[in-house]
Amino acid sequence: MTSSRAEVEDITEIETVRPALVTLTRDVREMQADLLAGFESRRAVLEWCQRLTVRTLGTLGDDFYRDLSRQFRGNDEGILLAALLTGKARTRDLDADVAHELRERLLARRLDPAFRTAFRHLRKDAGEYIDEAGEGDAHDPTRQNHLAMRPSLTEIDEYQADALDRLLDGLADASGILDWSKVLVLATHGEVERDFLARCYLEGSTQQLLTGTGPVDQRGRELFAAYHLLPRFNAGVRDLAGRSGELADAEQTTMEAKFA
Amino acid sequence: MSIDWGTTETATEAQKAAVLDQFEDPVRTTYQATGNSSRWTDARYMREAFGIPPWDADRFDYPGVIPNCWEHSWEAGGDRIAGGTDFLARGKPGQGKSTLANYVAIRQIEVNDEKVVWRGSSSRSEWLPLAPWTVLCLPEGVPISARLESKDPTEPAVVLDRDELEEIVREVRTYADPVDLNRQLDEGAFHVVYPDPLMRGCQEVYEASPERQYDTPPSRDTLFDEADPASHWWFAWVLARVEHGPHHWTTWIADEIGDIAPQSAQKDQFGTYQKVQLLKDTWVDARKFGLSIFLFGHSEVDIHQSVRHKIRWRIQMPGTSNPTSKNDVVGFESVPMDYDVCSHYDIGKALMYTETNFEPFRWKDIPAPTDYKLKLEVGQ
Repeated sequence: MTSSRAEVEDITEIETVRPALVTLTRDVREMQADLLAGFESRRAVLEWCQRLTVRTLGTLGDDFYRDLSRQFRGNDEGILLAALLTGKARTRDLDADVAHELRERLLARRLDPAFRTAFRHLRKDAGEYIDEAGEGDAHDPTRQNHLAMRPSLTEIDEYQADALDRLLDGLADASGILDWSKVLVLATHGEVERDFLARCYLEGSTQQLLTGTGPVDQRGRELFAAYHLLPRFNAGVRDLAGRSGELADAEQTTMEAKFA
Repeated sequence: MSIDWGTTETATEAQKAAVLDQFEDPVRTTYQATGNSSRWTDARYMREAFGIPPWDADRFDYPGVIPNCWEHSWEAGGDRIAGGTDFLARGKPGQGKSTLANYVAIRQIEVNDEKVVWRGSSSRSEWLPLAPWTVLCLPEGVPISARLESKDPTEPAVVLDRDELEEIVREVRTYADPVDLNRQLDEGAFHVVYPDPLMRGCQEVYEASPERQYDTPPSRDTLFDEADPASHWWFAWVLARVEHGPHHWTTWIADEIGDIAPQSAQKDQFGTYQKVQLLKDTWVDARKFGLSIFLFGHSEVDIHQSVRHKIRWRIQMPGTSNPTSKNDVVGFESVPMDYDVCSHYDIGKALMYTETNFEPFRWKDIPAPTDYKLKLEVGQ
């Protein structure tokens, strides 16, 4: 992890005139470093995935998150999830080298192409700034608080983190579900079905899962977050980043006919 | 001289137990089975078991095509017609007709709380995926022979007695005649009905409708007779359902309709042609009395053209071109498709069309838990 951090700093020593791209790259490198270091808990994996949706601008397909959600089923985690977790956190027996290689492969096969697509999406409208050097340079990437210099992305990132946090902590009661849904709409940028809240609220088993205090409910909420929230978060970011048209076409080919 | 047929090897008790074990246990905990309305309905249970998304008419672009056929209502309005519906699904073997038939059965139970009646036949048991929820209806007082046969014909067959059938299906009921059967059907449940080879009550049902008159076959006094092929029982059943009710929503699912009313039906010694005419004449009333008839066949000529004229929806199964000219579809003044879209669909996707619109749709796989087929022969 430390070596990655060092590299991040190397890049920023070059004075850039296109800070949005550098900011994105820095964030991406942090994501990669976190991945390679492994996660301390299943919750940490979910939180990382949430940050991933924003930092890839939603270019990683929704199916990536759906596939990953399968890993959260059952008593033991799936093999990929086990590899994402550190040795202490996983319940499966997995060789440390194998786990590390799996993380690297995931990075090379899935994440890197998505980061690249995000970069190319951003490059066409990344602004150039030639400011006065010195203290007053507002475009110095190291001083950027916003993701890819886009405040709206930072905002959705915060809403998503909040919505996920609240869910994983467990909602207080049925009314809590209604409160939670307000954040959810913002966190998904509206990419949530009309009856999603109604189902969470009205279906007894779902309500129990969202509000229950037992370890089973806790586990269920993790799966719920992986299966229901992450793909919608991703779709929301994609919409926000103005990519909704392109990816929706790819989905259209498989979803074209409806279930009779 | 007589041939020595030998004896057929049948399974031992241990083998039988192993085969029965491959079947899912019957489901007897639902609302339909217990009468307790706080339980899941059969439809809900089936949908969960096979991962079928709930029905949502808004998914479709043309409400006149699939939603109109699936959703039954006594009131017409907008794109919707009143009463029962019908369709003919055509496609080559192995293109998912029987799976679609199971899927449609579940949908009908879910959407309309239908009494679904599956046409049972001695040589086929494509309904086995739904066996845990099945109410099996057999004619009373006739011997039953039930065998489970493996897909691998060298495996010994398993002979079941009547009671053992309830290790596969929820319940076995017996009926005296078509009218009696109709009174025993449950709303929101799936029934597999094997016809009565003795045709008991069929002639009486026919005679109770004096306005329906057809030529009696030569050298006999009645239209229905014990000597008729057992499948002729269905003509009397449709008539009994229409004339004598009960008129709850009922769906008749007739796989392999070519066995019953083919284009080649003749005025033979069984009066097949007359009975096809009877079916045709009953069709309009079937709609009015809430009986939906869903037919499955290999091609158009699997069903007689006088019946075909009455069928308002068609389904083209994948692997075969859909018709693009009205000349290909008897009873349609026009066909909405200009091009073949259907022949390269994968299994699990088909095209439904009416005279005005068409819309592709998908269905879920409804797998059977085992390769064994149930061969149920009645009256032998």
